[in-house]
Amino acid sequence: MTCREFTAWIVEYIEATLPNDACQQFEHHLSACTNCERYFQQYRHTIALGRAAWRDTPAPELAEDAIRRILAARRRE
Amino acid sequence: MADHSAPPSASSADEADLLRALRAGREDAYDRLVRENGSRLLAVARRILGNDDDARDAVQDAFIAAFRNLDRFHGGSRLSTWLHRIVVNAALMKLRTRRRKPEQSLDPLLPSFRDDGHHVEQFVSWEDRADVAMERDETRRLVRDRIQQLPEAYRIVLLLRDIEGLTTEEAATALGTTANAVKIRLHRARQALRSLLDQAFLENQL
Repeated sequence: MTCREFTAWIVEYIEATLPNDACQQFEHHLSACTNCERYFQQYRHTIALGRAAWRDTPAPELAEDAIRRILAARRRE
Repeated sequence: MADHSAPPSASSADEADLLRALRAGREDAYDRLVRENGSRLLAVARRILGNDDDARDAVQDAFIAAFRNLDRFHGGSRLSTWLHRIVVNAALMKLRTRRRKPEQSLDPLLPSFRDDGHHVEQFVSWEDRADVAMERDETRRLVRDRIQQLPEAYRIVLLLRDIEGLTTEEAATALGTTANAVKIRLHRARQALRSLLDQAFLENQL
């Protein structure tokens, strides 16, 4: 497996949708290629950083006039 | 993963009561539904649309769509999850009505390969810095900023899958595309974000 193929299979590997033999090839390359191992770890950290990006950000408040508009629209339905 | 579709507090018994009251047309139940979910849905719409006015419109559209479709909600998911999906759709509809900016190329942010299939670039290890960095507000702000820099088609897929927690199939349905197209775009979006974050790590901004 080349680094190009390894990189193309990352999504399927993470989602555990690679067939067994492809999974073994992927993991073999992962353990043999330091550069791809680093790329893979960065990719996983990127997902984690993205997921954390909005953590602890206070939700914006839906203003009272917006709430009233929504409820008024329902009454007109 | 942070579950942005998580309900504020309602238990399932509480939710069943609320649903009965909504179906009975009780004004106080509608008031409660909007007040308990409005802010959370506004946050979702704002992430997708990037500005408050459009986000407020999308939330209004979402609640009205939900009110109209209450009879079709059969409790297969939490009410809050159902509302989350509806506001995602409302925000995407709003996005489609906007004039599209010309799409920038993502290619400079994607890895390049030599003829023999090896990476051109030598990657450095982020080691444990990413774990430590994500605990800091400044890091999370920087990551949000870098996500906003992604071209829209990629930013939206990344938001839907990695932040809003939609499955590949749900994202494909919401975007009117195939699951395979979502996977390809998600992979490219994550690779581009990785490249932007790597630059920030190298410049010690993270």
